[in-house]
Amino acid sequence: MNGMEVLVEVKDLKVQFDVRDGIVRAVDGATFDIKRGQTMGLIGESGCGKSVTAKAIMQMVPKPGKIVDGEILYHRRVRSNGSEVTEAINVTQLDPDGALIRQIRGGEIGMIFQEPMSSLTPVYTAGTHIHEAVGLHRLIPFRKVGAQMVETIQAHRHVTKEEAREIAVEMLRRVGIPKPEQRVDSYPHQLSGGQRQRVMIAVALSCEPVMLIADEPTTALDVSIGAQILDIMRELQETVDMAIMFITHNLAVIAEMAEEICVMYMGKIVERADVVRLFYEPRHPYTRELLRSIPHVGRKSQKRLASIKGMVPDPFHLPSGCVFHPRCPDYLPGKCDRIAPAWTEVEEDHWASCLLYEEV
Amino acid sequence: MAEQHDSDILLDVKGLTKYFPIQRGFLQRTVGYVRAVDDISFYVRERETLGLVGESGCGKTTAGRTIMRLYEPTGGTVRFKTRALSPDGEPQMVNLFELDRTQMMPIRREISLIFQDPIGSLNPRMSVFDIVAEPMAIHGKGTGPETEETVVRLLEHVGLRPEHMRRYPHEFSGGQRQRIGIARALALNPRLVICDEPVSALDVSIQAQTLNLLQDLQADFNLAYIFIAHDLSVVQHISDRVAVMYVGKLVEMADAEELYLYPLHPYTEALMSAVPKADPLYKAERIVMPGDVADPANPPSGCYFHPRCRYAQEICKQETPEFRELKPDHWVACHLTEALQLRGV
Repeated sequence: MNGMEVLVEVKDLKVQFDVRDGIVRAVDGATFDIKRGQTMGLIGESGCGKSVTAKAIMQMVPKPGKIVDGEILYHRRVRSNGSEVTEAINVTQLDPDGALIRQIRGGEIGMIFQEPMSSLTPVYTAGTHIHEAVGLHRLIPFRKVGAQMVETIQAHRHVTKEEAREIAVEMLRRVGIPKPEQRVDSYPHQLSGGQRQRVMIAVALSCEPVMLIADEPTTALDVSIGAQILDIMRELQETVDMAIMFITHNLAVIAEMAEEICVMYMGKIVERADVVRLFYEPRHPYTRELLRSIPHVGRKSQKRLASIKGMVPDPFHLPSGCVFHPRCPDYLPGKCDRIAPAWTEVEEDHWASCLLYEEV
Repeated sequence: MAEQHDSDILLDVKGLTKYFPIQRGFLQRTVGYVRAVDDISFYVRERETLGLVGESGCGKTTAGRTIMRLYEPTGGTVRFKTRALSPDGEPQMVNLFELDRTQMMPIRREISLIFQDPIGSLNPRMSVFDIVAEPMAIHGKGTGPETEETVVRLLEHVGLRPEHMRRYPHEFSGGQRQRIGIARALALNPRLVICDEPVSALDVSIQAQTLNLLQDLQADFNLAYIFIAHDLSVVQHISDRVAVMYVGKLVEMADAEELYLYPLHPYTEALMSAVPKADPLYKAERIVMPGDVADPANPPSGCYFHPRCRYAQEICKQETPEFRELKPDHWVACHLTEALQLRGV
C-alpha cells in the first residue's frame, strides 16, 4: 500500500448535525486516505456515518449538518504551462455552491448511489439544471436518458453536442446496455432498476472521473444484476485508472471489491487494513463480531450465528469511553468505559482504535 | 413424493396458479394476464423451513399470499393439515381453496405472516399491546387479564420487555419493530409462518439476532416456516430445504446444502455463481445470464429460462419441462439436466 500516490486525504474529519434534540456527531474524527486507482471500502451499519463521510468529500453535507473540524485534501492534477502538476485543494474550505466544487462534483469525482429512481426527490423540479441533478446521482423523470447524459457530459467536458451524444452511446454500450443507440432515447421509467443503475454508472464515468464514490450501489438490486454491476465497475476501473470509494454494509460485496477497508461504528473509524488482513486477522472486536455474524454459503457449518449483543446506541447519548464497550465481548471494566481509545498502528499499515492495543 | 414422508406433510401445494388480469381502455377489458405464479407444486413438512428464493418479480410474495388466500387463486390446490376444523383437534388435510370465508377464519390462526418492512407493517397509532393483541381480538380469543399475560409472554419470548407493551412503534429500532411483528405473528399459536423477507431491512448485527430468534421460536413452538428472501446466504443458513423460482415457476427444490453445492438447474447454477462471498481470496467465476428476466405477462415459449440459458437446445424452446423428482427429495424442471455437469457455490 505504501508508495502509492494519495488522491484524497481525510484528516480528523468531524461532521455534526445540530438538531432539536441535541447534537449528533455523525462523523467524529475520521482519518483515512484514498489512493489513485485503488478501491477503498467503507463498511458499517446504518447510521454509522459512512454516507455522511462520502458527502463531506463532495462538500454536500445536507443541512443541518456541518463540517466542524478536520481537512479533506483532494490532490488534483492540473495542467500549467504544458506540464502536469498536482495541487492540494482543501475541500472543506470550498464554497459548497462555488464553481470549483461544482466542477469537481459529478465531474472529477463521480457518484452513484442506491437505486437511482427511488432516490428521486420532488425537490428536483423541471428548473433544476440537469447536469447538476444527474451529477448528484439522480435521473430526472420525463426527460430522455440521452438528453440528460449529454447535458452532464457537456457541463464537465469541452465537447460538442454531437460528440457528447456519441460519448453517451459509447458509455451505455460499455456498461452493457443492449441497443444503446435506441436506449439513449428512452425515458428513465422505461428502464429496469439494473439498467438505471448502469445508466448512472455510465453518466458518472462519461465525465472521466479520477474517483467514483459508490454508496450501496448494488443493495437495491437482485444478486445476479448486482454481480454484473460489480463486474462492470471493476472492468472500467482497470481501463480508466480510477479510484473508488465503495460504501456498503454488505461484507461479502466489500470483500470482492475493495483493496483497503475502513470499518466505521458510531461516527468513528475503528479499524483500517488491507482487505485480506481485515478478513483474516481482524483486530477490533467490532470487526471480528461483524465477520462472525454473517452466514456463509456452501457447506453448512454453523447452526447458529454469532450475534453482537445489544443495539446500536442512541446517537444523542453515546456511551462514555469507547463507544462500542457496552456491546464488546472483550470489554475491560474500569478502562473501556472511561478512556476513549486512540488510533493506533497495531502492525504495519493496520490501524485500530481499541484499548486492547494500548498500554493503559 | 415419497410415500413415507406423507404423514409429516403440513402443507401440500399442487399446481398453484395466480394470474393477474391486465385491463385496458375505458371498458377495462382484459387484454392479457400477468402469470405471477404459474403452476407450482411444493410441500412443507411439520417443523421444517422451506426457503423460497428468486429475483424480484418472480412471484415469491404472490405465492405466499395466495396460499393464505389473501389473493384469490386462479387454480391449483393447497392442502393444509389443520386441527381447527375437527371438534377433537384431530389433524386433517383440507383443501383451503374449497373453504368459504367462515371456514377459512379458524385456519387463519394456524397460518400467519411476518413482513419485510418493520415500519410499514405496524400501525403507528396503536400501542405494542394493541398490535400484538389485535389478532386475538379479531379471533375472539382475547379479553381480560389473560390477554395481557399472553402479550407479556410473547414479548418476553421475542426478547422485548413487558413494559414495552405501553409504547408505540416509533419508539423502537428496526430490529425491535421486527420483533414486535414476530410476536404478533405468534399470537394465535400458528403452525405455519410465512416469513416474507423478514430480515432484509435489518442491519448485519441485528439480522443475526433475528435469525437466531426465528430458529429458537421454531424449536419452542414447533413451527414450520416458508422463508421468502432474495439473500441466498441467509436462506441457506435458515432453511432445511430450498425452492428456486423463476418467472412464476419453480425450477428446482432440494435439501439446502445439496441445492447450493450440487444444483441441477442452470438457473440455480447461475444464481449461485453470483452470490458474493465474504472472502477476499476467493475469485468468483460468474456465469453471465444474458438479457433481462422474462416478462411474466409475455413469457417465452417452452422453458421460460431458455433465452438466457447457456445450455439451451431446440427442445427447450418448444416444450415446457416438467417439474420432476430426479432424486429423492430433489426436484427440477429442466430437459437437459441429466446431461449437464453443473457447478455449485
